[in-house]
Amino acid sequence: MSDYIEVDQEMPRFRVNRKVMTDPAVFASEREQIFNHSWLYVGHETELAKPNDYVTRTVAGRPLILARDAKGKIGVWVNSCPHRGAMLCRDPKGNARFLTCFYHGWSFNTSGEPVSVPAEEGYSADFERPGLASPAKVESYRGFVFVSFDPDIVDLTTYLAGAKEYLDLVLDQSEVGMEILPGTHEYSAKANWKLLAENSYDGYHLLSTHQRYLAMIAAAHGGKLDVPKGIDDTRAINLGNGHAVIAGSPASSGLFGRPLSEAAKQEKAERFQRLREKFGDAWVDRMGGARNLVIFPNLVVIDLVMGVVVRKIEPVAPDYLEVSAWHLVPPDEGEELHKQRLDNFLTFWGPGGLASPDDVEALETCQRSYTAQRELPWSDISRGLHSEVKEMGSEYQMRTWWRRWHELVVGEALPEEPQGPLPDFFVGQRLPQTAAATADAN
Amino acid sequence: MDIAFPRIEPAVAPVPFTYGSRRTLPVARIELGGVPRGAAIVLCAAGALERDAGEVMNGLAEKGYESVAVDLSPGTGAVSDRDLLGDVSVLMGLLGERGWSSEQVGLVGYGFGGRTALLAAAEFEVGAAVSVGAPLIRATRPVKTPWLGLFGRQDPAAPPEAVACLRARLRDSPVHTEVVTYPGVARDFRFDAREAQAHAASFDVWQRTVEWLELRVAPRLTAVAQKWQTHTASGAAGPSRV
Repeated sequence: MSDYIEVDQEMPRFRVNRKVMTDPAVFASEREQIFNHSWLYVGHETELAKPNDYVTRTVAGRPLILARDAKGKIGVWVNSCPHRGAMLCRDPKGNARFLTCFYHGWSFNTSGEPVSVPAEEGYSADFERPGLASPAKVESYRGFVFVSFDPDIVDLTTYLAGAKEYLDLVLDQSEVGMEILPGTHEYSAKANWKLLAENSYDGYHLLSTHQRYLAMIAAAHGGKLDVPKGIDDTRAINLGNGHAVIAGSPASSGLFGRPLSEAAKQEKAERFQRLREKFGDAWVDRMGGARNLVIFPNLVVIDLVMGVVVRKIEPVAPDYLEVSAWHLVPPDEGEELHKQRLDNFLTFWGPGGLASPDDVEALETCQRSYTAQRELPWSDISRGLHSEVKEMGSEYQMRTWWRRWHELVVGEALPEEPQGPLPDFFVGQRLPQTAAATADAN
Repeated sequence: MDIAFPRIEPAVAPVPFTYGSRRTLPVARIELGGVPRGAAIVLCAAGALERDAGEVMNGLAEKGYESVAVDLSPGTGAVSDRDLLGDVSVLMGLLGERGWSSEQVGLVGYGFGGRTALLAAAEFEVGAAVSVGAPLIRATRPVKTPWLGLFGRQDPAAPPEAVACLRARLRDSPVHTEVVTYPGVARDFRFDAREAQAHAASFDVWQRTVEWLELRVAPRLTAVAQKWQTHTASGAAGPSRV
């Protein structure tokens, strides 16, 4: 056992030393051991509608360009001129067949190939013209584009392990393919990035931290929020490789969002009925439950059925993180449902919404208090450790994350904890699909 | 266009438009030495060859573009859209004689010429197309060439709701399109004026026009660059993509 995580199997108790939230050496070690050896989310293919569309992103500190080239192929390039380093794309998004460095004018196409070098007589005829650099690996899963800086990493599907199934539950909700809406929510917090990873699937904090949001929803429902029956039938599930999810019963999705008109309810019910015919009841029942998924180390997908947020957490310093968040929607939805989604996205997850600022405040006060780590060195992550039933409010999902963290940063596996069998609802499978129906899954 | 480059006087000569309107029209040309960046077709506003050609062509030459300019407006006769597209292909042919391929050509049109540039963007795949102050076409097809439309919000021939409609319709195009509208100006907003909005519009229009071409018109490769391209095409390692 290391100085960072302490597991007492008798009590039982699981504690994380607050040093990991403040120590620059730990931060540097995470950069090397985690971020240089994981698959990291860059963006979604639907953000690039037309040939030569691009977006710029920061991933593990590196400036990257995610681009669709002239022939429609998706690529990821380091946003730095191979000549002397200036950034080629300085806008967050754009469309350009040729990317020209504003420093000395070298240009490249969206396939990363060199196009022209001004005043080239200054170079020998054999001078090797460099193209754009690329991360060692680029792969996508149903439109989610990931990179890895580790040439020897396992393929993306193997890496995603059980998380793949939960992405499918989100991505199967549209009959024409889920799409990212244009625009990015960007905000930051003076807090360690791991605090937001934990917070993103912390089912325990909803009632205490997010009272304001719940009060608003109750008001929208006429002053009384009917808590759906079976809402507490939830599970935290280990998905392998450090990924985990908290998943709700079918009743859970009814808790969130403003009320819908009968017509919108009808439209939604009809779409889900069509999905039932396609995917089967067991799968669509699961689809109707809320889920918070964290794909190790820093990708969050929260699907409250009335809205889906895709959130990327970027560590900047031990006490500073940046968030980029996007809204994933079924484009085949009618106007009212779409409007409800937008409203939910803004009022719940938006940086000025009724939930995210509360989370940021909680995380920032955690970080500030870690200055007293000599007096109070440990944070407790023990909830649910004593039971084989891991419900949403347990902290099993976080311990799953921390075990993977420990394995990568310290190089030592911590003891696993047993999880009892999952109720049938959480294991229902999708009906086998024809090759055409699952083409986008490959 | 702030730096004082020596002004080039375009050579103007009659050209028979054999594929399109079958007229013979004066065409202005600026040809450059060395390895020019690209080529452009300037489609002038009605009756404005003399006014537009020299200034716009010199502005393009400063950025390394050879160009041809013409006024394709019908005058007193009748010219169909089909004829105009034929006329544009004659101009492409003129540039082809100078070794320019279609991806190395940009179209820049003003007023009536802007309308022709949009028609041509729907018909041909060239490097890029820009329409400035074009009267709107009722049923525009999706475009094949990345197209930039710049409109004055006070232009009665391009009312804001019609521009919004055009913008929405062009979204189905397989290539990138962009529409920008300028408040407080009508048709001839590319000309500088004392009034603040007109001054801002004229500056922005030229910046956007040049930028649109720079980002999309394929450059003519030098002999060394061509040799390098052949070398990489024959098996040099390429970076990874999805």
